[in-house]
Amino acid sequence: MQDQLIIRLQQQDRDAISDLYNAYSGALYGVVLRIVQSPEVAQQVLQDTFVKAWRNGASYDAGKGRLFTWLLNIARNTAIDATRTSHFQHSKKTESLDKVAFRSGGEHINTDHLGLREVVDKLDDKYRTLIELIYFNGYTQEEAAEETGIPIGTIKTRLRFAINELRKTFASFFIFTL
Amino acid sequence: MDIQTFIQSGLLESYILGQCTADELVLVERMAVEHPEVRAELESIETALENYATAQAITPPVDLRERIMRSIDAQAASTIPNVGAPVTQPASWPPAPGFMWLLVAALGVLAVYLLFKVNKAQQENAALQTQVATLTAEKNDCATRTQHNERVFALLRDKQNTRRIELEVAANQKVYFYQNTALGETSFDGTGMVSAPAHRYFQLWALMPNNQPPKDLGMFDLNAPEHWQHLDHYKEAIGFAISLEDDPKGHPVPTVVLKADTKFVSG
Repeated sequence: MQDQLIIRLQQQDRDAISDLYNAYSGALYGVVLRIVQSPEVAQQVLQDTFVKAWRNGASYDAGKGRLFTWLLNIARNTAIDATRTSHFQHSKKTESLDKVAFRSGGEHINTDHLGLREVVDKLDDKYRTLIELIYFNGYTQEEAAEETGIPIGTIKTRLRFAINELRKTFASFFIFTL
Repeated sequence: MDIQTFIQSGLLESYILGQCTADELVLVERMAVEHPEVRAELESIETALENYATAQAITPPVDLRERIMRSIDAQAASTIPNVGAPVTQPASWPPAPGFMWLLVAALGVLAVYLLFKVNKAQQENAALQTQVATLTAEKNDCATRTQHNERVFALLRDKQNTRRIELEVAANQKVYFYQNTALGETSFDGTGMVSAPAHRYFQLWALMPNNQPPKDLGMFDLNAPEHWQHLDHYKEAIGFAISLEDDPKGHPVPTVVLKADTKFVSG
């Protein structure tokens, strides 16, 4: 199914974008909104993301990564560019960790994913905060180290551990719900 | 490197997040091809992060899809599709290492070229600044000369108010003092001035009424434009004199009076 979608994407089939939108727009919009902090800018970023995906679909190499990862990297970089060109202040990006952590329990979450949401909430705060910073707020690992005052080596270890925890919790969630 | 150590190094997470260096990118992709467990680990990390993002998904406004599709249709109508053609990877996707080296080399050449251009521009700028300084000096000199000439013409043309005193400093060698109280001008035309004896200097004087001491009008200036000197104006002056002094800066009172006269004639 996804193989067909990839072929259509590589052929610049506009309907492939429509299918991608169905599958990923919510997850991408959630990430982008956290980076740009403005619904108007987030919508423009998401529009630019899908247009770029359509234009560059032929360059997607399934051997190098999942479709969502490819789309997410386009979306995140477009969002970060938007924060640089839309007179965003760095201070907006460097909100306190408390706010970032608090916001991770945001109020606009899709009800469809409430089950997963609870799983995410079970993550230790220090891991969740780190994933939020790097995954949602566009920080590099070096910037995250600077922001948190944690050595870069520890950041790498914690990020690795945090993603491992995610894998475990999602795995148990999926087993439980199946 | 031991595969487990490599997997646990944190590099795979960086790769998925698009935060690898070009060298790390090559390494991860090579390891993923050579070691299925690395490939599996990458997929596992991607899936975990995808699930994480999906868990926090937010539904965009309902009209966004329509806006995106309209934008794509508009671009499709105005551009030739890229199907089948090699396409540049989007900025978000880590570029291929060969491309990176090409980019670095191109940037290097560009940097050298720009450095050359900047140096050349700096040299041209310095030359232009010198030229501007020269032209400015010439312009100021011209302005001074013009002002000088205008004062001379104004004095000579005003026949009604200009009067002069003629001093014959040697046989057929005459100099003139001009006075115009309406314009407040006193001038000296030294075209006919003779050379001073060695170590002697000519000083100019205004003769004052009622036995007052003469007023110093300065030294005769050999280099004055057209030998014409604008002097201090004393409207009460009744005549003019030239003295010979041994000090190039002159004396407060005349030492040896060479010539003096009080007979004014018009213009």
